[in-house]
Amino acid sequence: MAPTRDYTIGNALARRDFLRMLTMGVAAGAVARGAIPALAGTIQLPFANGARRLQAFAQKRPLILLRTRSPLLETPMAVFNQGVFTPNDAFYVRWHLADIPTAIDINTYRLRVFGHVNSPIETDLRSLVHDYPAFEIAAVNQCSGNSRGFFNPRVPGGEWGNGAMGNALWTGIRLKDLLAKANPRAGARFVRFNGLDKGTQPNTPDFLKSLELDHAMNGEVMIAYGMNHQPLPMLNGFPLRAVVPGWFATYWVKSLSDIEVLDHPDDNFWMKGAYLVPDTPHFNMKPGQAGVKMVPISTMGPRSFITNISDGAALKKDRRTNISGIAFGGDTGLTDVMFSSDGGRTWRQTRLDRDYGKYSFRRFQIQFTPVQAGGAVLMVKAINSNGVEQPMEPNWNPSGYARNVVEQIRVRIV
Amino acid sequence: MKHRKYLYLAAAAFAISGCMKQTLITTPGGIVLRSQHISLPSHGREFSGAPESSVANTYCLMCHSGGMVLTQPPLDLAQWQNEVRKMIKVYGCPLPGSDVDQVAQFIAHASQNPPPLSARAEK
Ligand code: HEC
Repeated sequence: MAPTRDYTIGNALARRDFLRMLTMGVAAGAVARGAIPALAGTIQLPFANGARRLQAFAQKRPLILLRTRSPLLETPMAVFNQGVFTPNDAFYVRWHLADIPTAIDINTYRLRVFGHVNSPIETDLRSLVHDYPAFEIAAVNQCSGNSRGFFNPRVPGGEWGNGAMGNALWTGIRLKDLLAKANPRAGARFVRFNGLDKGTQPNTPDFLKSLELDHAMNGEVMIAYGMNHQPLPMLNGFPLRAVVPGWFATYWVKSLSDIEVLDHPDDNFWMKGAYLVPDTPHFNMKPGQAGVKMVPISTMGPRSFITNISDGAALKKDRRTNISGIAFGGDTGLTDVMFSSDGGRTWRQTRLDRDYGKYSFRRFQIQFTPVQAGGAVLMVKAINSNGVEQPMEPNWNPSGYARNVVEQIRVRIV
Repeated sequence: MKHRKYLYLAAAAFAISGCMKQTLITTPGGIVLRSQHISLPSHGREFSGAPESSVANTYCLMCHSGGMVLTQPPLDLAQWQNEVRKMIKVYGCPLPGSDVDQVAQFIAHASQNPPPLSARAEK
């Protein structure tokens, strides 16, 4: 079917090539001048109270430690310079409740589909991977609160830099195929995901997230058992997680165990009391603004980041420099990444590298020859196929969600 | 003492490997799924200093470690009172209502004066 072509990778990318690609980037990313410094034991994120340790967890290389229990681990920006897919051991980690799964027996694991359906399902992993057609999609997984630390005025929450995101090739089955087998009853409207994570206190609301049935059936929403052609790390939701391309990661429930079909909107706390954004363009409002309609967060907007040069780097005057980075379109494909070296007055189109599908990171490149000594502000701006571009002014909302302002880095031309 | 610790570890490893049969599931695309078991680092009583630290250690580390608190931006006292009330009302923190103000005051200070990173080492 034609429409699926632009985002499925299918057999085009053989497993071996793919694994090689994941490791290859390291050398390509080694830019002699202006390179992002090597990882040390600590890192200072550029906002108040932004000192962080780097800490290795099981199946993870040292990542930026935000919280030990349950783990909040951020991917250092340097990783994004090393390739278009984020290696599993560098992929950020985000749980909510304290009691997270640490042991999974693949023989006894079950996924249930129940509620407003004619034929409830309880399947083990073996049947799940063999009874339904395999499906693959490259998609960015980004925390709703990615970049929260940059909000001004600041807001409480997980104080992430820009690394609460990652791009992976997800392999699994379409949710549509599973739901079709369960055969929703007339009047079915929502599909609610639950995973194995739990609170430790009796009154802590369990973490549940819902999508509208039509969305769940769109043939892109899937249940993944593979991440970059490997099993998911435990901390990213082994053995199964929901994948909701184009939508913020809060819906991508990890260690997925229950899928409940509802005949009414979901009023559980994590849908009605948390992850709410203003119902406005760019989810933007003014601090203290009253009477703003709040709705559950949904789709992502476009973003782009220069990854081979860090803030404060020195570039040689009259010497041609390659500027490169990653970008994504959000809920639709990327059309352009524009580059500005004069603080946003004039823009040039960058060259986009290979397209892995409309929900994937895509690398961009541009040659830049500084001609004037002194300070310069470099910016990149992603534009998606809906014509949505990153805003020049940052958005603000009380929970610190969906930041996607045009990023800028300051360099010295010497 | 040390030997005993290793014995426990070995016993635990044996128990885990025993109850999880070493079967594999190979997916159509060649991904091999195996049973998994990880262990996570622990954290201690992460608040120190003023006498209120012991209340904070009791009530603010039940559902998350101190990183959730010690990485917060500068918030004013009213914001911290709201946060503590939210923990009670929304998430079920059993802190008595009469302690909200003193815990909020302690946290407002503690969160902006976190222990040095070297002391925040996780085991
Ligand atoms: C009954 C469980 C529970 C207790 C006890 C608890 N919290 Fe929380 N807290 C949570 C949960 C759940 C979250 C959301 C975690 C997430 O999103 O990862 C949270 C988040 C937070 C946040 C981040 C901002 C926010 O509102 O999400 C702060 C700050 C915080 N807690 C402070 C405290 C303090 C201070 C105490 C002690 C008075 C405390 N917590 C006790 C459950 C609890």
